[in-house]
Amino acid sequence: MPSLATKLGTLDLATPFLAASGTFGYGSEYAPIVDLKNLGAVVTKSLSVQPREGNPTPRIWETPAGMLNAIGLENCGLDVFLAKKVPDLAKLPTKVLVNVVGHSVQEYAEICKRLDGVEAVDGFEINISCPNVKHGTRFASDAADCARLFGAVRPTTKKLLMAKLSPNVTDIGEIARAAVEHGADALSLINTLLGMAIDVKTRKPRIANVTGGLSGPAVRPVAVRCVYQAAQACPKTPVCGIGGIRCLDDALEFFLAGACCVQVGTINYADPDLLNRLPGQLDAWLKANGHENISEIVGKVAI
Amino acid sequence: MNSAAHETNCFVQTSAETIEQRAVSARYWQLRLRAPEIARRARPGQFVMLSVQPDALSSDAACDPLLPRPLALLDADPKAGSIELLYFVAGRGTALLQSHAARPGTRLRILGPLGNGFTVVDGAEVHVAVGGGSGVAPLVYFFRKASFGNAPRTVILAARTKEHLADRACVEVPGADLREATDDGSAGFRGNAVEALRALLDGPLKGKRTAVYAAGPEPMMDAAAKLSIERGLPCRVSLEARMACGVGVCRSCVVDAKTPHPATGLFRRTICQDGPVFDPCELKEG
Ligand SMILES: Cc1cc2nc3c(=O)[nH]c(=O)nc-3n(C[C@H](O)[C@H](O)[C@H](O)COP(=O)(O)OP(=O)(O)OC[C@H]3O[C@@H](n4cnc5c(N)ncnc54)[C@H](O)[C@@H]3O)c2cc1C
Ligand SMILES: Cc1cc2nc3c(=O)[nH]c(=O)nc-3n(C[C@H](O)[C@H](O)[C@H](O)COP(=O)(O)O)c2cc1C
Repeated sequence: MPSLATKLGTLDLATPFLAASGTFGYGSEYAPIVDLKNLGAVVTKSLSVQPREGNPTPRIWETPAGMLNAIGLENCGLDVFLAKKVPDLAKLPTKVLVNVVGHSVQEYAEICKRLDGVEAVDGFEINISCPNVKHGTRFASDAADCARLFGAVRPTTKKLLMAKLSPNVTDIGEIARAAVEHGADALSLINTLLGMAIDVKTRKPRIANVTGGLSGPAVRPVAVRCVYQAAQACPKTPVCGIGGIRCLDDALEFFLAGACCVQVGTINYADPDLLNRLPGQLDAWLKANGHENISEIVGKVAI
Repeated sequence: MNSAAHETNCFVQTSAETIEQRAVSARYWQLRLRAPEIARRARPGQFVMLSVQPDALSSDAACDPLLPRPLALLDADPKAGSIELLYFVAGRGTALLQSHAARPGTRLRILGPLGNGFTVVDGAEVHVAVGGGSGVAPLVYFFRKASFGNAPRTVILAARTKEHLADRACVEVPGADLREATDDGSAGFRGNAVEALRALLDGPLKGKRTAVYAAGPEPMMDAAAKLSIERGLPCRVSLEARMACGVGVCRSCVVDAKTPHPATGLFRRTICQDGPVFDPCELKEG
């Protein structure tokens, strides 16, 4: 009997399949159709100290096998999150990772500090990689800034700290090392790739923010490459792979590249039931291939 | 979360089977699907997110276009386990849907029913639906199913020409006065939907407390809402925007509201989950 359980740092996840930030709300939105016990964790929509109204519309544009988005981190802010979202999160039959954003090191630290004592929160995904807000990727593109951020956030919490990295950098291994050396317990990647589309008839950008983040199957090869490089750079750190996953084979690619778990993002919009099917499919695959646990294949790309 | 939002949580994802698709004018396709779980839950004004191709997403071809398309329900028959859609080909996605759905037995991924439907405005003496384009389905479904008591009802359906109007049989509303309007006057009233509405409000309905329900192209809905508000009449509009999820999580299809949302504190509403039906007085203009 293979086991689907996987370890993400100190956290024991029931399955290696997580729901990605911004694509699954706060978990309960999809509860009518997704059995959350099939998930290792829900990653909540990015949370900032102050509420954010986000960018003007249009905010999305569909592209070949993918989409551009510039939502602009619309979210209710920390106070409303504590009052209205946490009670529901506490009831979810899965782990909860809160995705955190900030304008400054202090804002990241404040959120982690205030949520450190909240039992419903199992850990943090530190989003240093949003391409849709001013300076959104500063902490993900400069190793010194990234180090400073984790240096400040680490002392605020004992909970899991996972750094969510951007693919929009020259050397992702360097950023990954900076995060890990300054306190990140785990890495998740990738956030979206900065992109742009123009309506040639009107000559206007397709989304109001002008540029947006590309996601979906179109980005998967970039994501697999980034996971591979980050895992090589930080061989002792668990990596969560994200980018264009739409079936078990896609997830297996990430495991082989070095991820111990994966997040499903854009595909939730088209096929939320995928998260119900993946655990059974992985179980059957492990059996058929004579494996006890996915740890046996993590990073085992044959090179 | 209010009770209406709670109800919208009762959606399902299933594989719907095409029963029949037929052309009901030069423009519209009427598509009947077997989707018993959706038929059972559906209310007028709600919509579904429909994949436009039959294959599983694990096939590369099915990933492009990737996102499902929002389509309003034209009808739902819980006994027969079927739902009906009325759509026109607007671009690549709907063109693919049209060709795939043409074959009975084709299975399509579908999520629904979604959103809050139309509800009857209390205290109105007369109810008028005014719609065109993609707004025909939700209005016809609503006027067919809702109970308006003895209040007279009128449905105004507008199109560019006679050929672009949907066949009367597929949009017939028992007990309502169905009026057509065409830009070129080839059928019914000569003029657009809002001009037809104005003629009605200034003519036979003058002085009556009339509730206006509008759905269709944005300029038409804006004008219908403006006219209603000018006349002090209650109005409901069914809005559209590009959307990815249909359930309120992606935050693509937001509109600005005058008051904070009870659950988020933000001055935003999602068309998919908080709508698609709104009282325009609760939204910011533009
Ligand atoms: C809640 C809701 C209910 C709808 N109900 C119906 C319906 O009952 N019947 C029907 O025919 N259509 C309906 N629509 C519109 C329908 O979803 C779009 O026509 C469709 O998504 C276009 O997809 P496409 O790939 O064919 O076109 P695209 O290539 O994506 O676009 C072609 C054109 O359609 C416009 N368009 C694209 N998406 C939308 C959208 N979501 N809303 C409005 N315009 C859009 C684009 O601006 C463009 O001009 C509804 C939309 C919403 C949001
Ligand atoms: C509409 C949308 C909103 C998103 N919002 C967030 C967000 O708030 N915070 C975040 O860290 N990532 C966000 N993401 C990025 C995803 O979590 C994920 O990293 C990315 O989309 C790549 O995975 P995918 O191809 O499976 O979608 C968003 C993605 C989309 C499409």
